[in-house]
Amino acid sequence: MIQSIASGDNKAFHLLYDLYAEIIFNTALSYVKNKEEAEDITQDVFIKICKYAASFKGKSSVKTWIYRIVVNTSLNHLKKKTRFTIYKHSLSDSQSIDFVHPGVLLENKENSIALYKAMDCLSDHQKTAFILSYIEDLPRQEVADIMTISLKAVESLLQRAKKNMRLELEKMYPYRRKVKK
Amino acid sequence: MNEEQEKWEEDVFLSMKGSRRARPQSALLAKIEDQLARSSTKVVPLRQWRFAVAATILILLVNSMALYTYYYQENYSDMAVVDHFCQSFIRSYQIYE
Repeated sequence: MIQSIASGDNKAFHLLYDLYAEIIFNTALSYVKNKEEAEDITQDVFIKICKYAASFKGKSSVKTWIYRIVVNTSLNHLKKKTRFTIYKHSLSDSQSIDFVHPGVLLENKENSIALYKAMDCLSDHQKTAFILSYIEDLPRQEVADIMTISLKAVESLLQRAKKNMRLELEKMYPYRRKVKK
Repeated sequence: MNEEQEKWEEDVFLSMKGSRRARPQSALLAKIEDQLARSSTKVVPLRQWRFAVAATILILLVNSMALYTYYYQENYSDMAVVDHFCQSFIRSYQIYE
């Protein structure tokens, strides 16, 4: 399919879009917590796929390759955004407003808001490991392949991410701890 | 840390389990195709322009150096001919040797 896209096959591109648009959009949404920005990233990712399709050697699966592009594009987008907000001396919208994922189950809505807030404290690597494992629900080995690290490294990143998020959750919701004691 | 707190935190971590994937706007595909069509009209990148300018300057330099050397050597060889002529002229008048 990627080879067909490289040779300019429009049908193959439509097929790829149908297969991966939601995956790309959702992953980007987990990083940027804003629909418009996630769409911009999705657009960027598809442009990159077309641009680099010819150089795809098939060493990894297409899904892994696409996930890598999404992760890198999303992280770069966040970096650019952070630089911009430093100049503006203000918090970005995504940090100040509670993010509600459009597909979350109603009973998990409050918890997911807390989850996305707590994720702000994570480093890029920890965030990627967490998003791919807990939000995209990918197997750990696939996460390791996407991040080009070992399985052990993924486990360690997830442990550290959870530890940091626990601390953040306790900071954000201190009343929960007091009430439950 | 109490158990309930820990359970709540674990619930938070797993709160996206079973959620639906969000869909991008239906107009996104058309937007991407439009951008792809625009980017396919060949735009010469700045780096390529710089390379072309550098190559032109290099070619001009090499040519001017070649011209300079050519004329300089021509003058030098003219002088050498004159010099040789003078020497032979003087040599032929060395009557007191």
